[in-house]
Amino acid sequence: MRRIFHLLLCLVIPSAPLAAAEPISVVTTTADIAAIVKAVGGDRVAVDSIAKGYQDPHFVEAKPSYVRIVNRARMLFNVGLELEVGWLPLLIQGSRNPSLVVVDLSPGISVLEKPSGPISRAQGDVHPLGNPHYWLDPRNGVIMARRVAQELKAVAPGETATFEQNLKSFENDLSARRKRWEEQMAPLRGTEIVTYHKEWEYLMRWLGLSIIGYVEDKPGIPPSPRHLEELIQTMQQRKVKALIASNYTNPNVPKSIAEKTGTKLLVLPTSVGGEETIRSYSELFDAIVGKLVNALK
Amino acid sequence: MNLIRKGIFFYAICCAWLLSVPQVSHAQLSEMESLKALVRDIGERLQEALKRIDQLEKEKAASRDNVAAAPSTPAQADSQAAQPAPPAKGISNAFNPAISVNGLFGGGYSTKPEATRRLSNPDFHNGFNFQEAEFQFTADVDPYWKANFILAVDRSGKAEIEEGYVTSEQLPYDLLPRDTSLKLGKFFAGFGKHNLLHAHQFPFIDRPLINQATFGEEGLNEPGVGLSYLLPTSWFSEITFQGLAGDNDRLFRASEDAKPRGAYLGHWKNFFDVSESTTLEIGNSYVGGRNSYAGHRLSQAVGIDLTMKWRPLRQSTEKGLIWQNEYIYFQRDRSRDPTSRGGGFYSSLQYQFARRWWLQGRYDLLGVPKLDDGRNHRWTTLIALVPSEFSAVRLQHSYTVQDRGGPVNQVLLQLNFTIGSHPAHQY
Repeated sequence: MRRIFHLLLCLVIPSAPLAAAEPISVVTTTADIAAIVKAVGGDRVAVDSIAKGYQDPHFVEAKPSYVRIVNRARMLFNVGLELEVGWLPLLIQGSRNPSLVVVDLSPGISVLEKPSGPISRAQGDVHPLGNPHYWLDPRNGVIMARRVAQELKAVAPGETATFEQNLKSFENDLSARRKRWEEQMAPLRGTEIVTYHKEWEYLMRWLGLSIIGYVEDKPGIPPSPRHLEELIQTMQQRKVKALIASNYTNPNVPKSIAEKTGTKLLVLPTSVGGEETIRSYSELFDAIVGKLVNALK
Repeated sequence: MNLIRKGIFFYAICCAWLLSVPQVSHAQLSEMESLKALVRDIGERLQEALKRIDQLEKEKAASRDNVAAAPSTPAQADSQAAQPAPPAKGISNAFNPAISVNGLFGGGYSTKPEATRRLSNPDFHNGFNFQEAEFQFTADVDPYWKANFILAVDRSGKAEIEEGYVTSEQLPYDLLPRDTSLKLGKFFAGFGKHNLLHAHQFPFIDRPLINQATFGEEGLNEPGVGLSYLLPTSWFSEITFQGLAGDNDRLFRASEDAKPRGAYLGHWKNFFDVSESTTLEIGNSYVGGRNSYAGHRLSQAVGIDLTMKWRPLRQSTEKGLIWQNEYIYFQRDRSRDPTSRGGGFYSSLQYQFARRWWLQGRYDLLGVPKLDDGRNHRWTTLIALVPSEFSAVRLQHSYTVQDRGGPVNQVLLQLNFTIGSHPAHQY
């Protein structure tokens, strides 16, 4: 019935086919994916991100206003690996949008820290599918962008050439910048650092920095005093140069550790929009690498 | 790869055999030297070949691990994502429902247990008790339906299906219009805010007085069918209609064996983002149906709710504030007795002042308009220690002033925990 109605509408209103030129409405769970979709889709997409770049993506609330955004979207891109498990299922179900194309970007990524043995919540917020913070390695950004292009082409085959061209420029630009970032960080390879949460594994693996400890002894659980004592001792013995925390972490505990150990506390953005000046995926690494080089040199 | 390895191995054996044959002739000595050189050469080449094989095998294993790294079609990628590790033997568990179990263990002391039973919890007694265990099973039935079952077992061991329903956002032949969802089964009816909650989701350990007075111990929980529609507005606006059995024993049924006569419910929910950290929700609800008192007159309830939430996005795990208010008016028309009516409201504040700590307060007023036993005021305070999102320890004190009967002091302690699959959190 609805098809007949649409058909009639197309016949009656000559301008109806123009609707095809509307940009594809895309919603993403994180601001990083939004930046990649924007880069690949250009003006052929209208992108909305649910989590802000300065927000912890594990703990987003499933606000009804987000339901409305998902309701009106054509496509939804998410990080996957259960990063959004606490809120995304409710948004998708509540959206009442059966034609929504949902794309999990994690397939294709070499996922780190996939648990090999049995896991339990006694170990904290362990991700059963592996560490989900994979966008913090620009090489994964390329894999994500390729997948985004593929999915956009499937939805709008007429725009294939545009998406491919945008993807190529994105890849070329990122690859040139990556070489520069790697050169900047080369003298610092092997530097020992401590991080607050297990969200920097992909970044540090790429840059060759060695994480020797975490403030959280169990992911997602505030640290015990005994663990902090041991960590402070280790940091003093090994003269750890930096303690890294994300910009949504409560700074009280990291600050007190930094004071006790004399280590630099380095607060880094984890996402596009994490700081006002970070508006694109490459600007995220510009900021991170810049801060790391300044702090560790 | 094995064939190459076998070939090289055979070749090496042949060479070794040639070398081990007794060499007697002088004329053959120089030939022997050259043969030795040849064998050395072969040995070196063999080592190189074996190294190359090992390298190739490693590369092959790595590419197997990273098979998804190559650009894949969406269908392939999805199937890779969906495929769990194959079970060692037997039948796949992939389609089993997600299961979680919630336990509520508590204790309480009231200065007037009888008044507490009458006003807020018919099962109350002084001392420790196991309140309830809830078993939740959730899974997609097929592309069209999602099923949800919640079995509750109380301290006496009595089990009941607290909720058992399917929802759908899409049906074959486009039977369900876009922006609409369908719910079928037994569920907490969409009346107001508090009625939708299971015991472990209650913001305080007990129900608001007005919810207890209107719908009783089980809440408005009925078999029925419901449709909800997302209005095409610039803010979130949702209208829900539900056809219910009408078997609530407070509002509709005169006695246990009275036949339910059906009821209808409407709810309109509006939600606004005041700022990125503050939201406002306003809802209106109505439920009405014929009751089973003599004459089968109308029983109905109307409600209005207003909730403001504040949670700064930069400290989303550290700070939060919820201000929730709900007013309900109910009326049961009866032909032999005078109409019984009543109303009341609660206003509550929940403040998260640190990652693991909540401080809460609630004021209840039951009796606007007055009920048969007059008016009751209750002030409640609660402090909660939340070690993780899967457990909470809560201590609550309430002070009730009754028109008839003296004041009641009550202290409740509760441990609330969840095991199993990670449940998504309703806003």
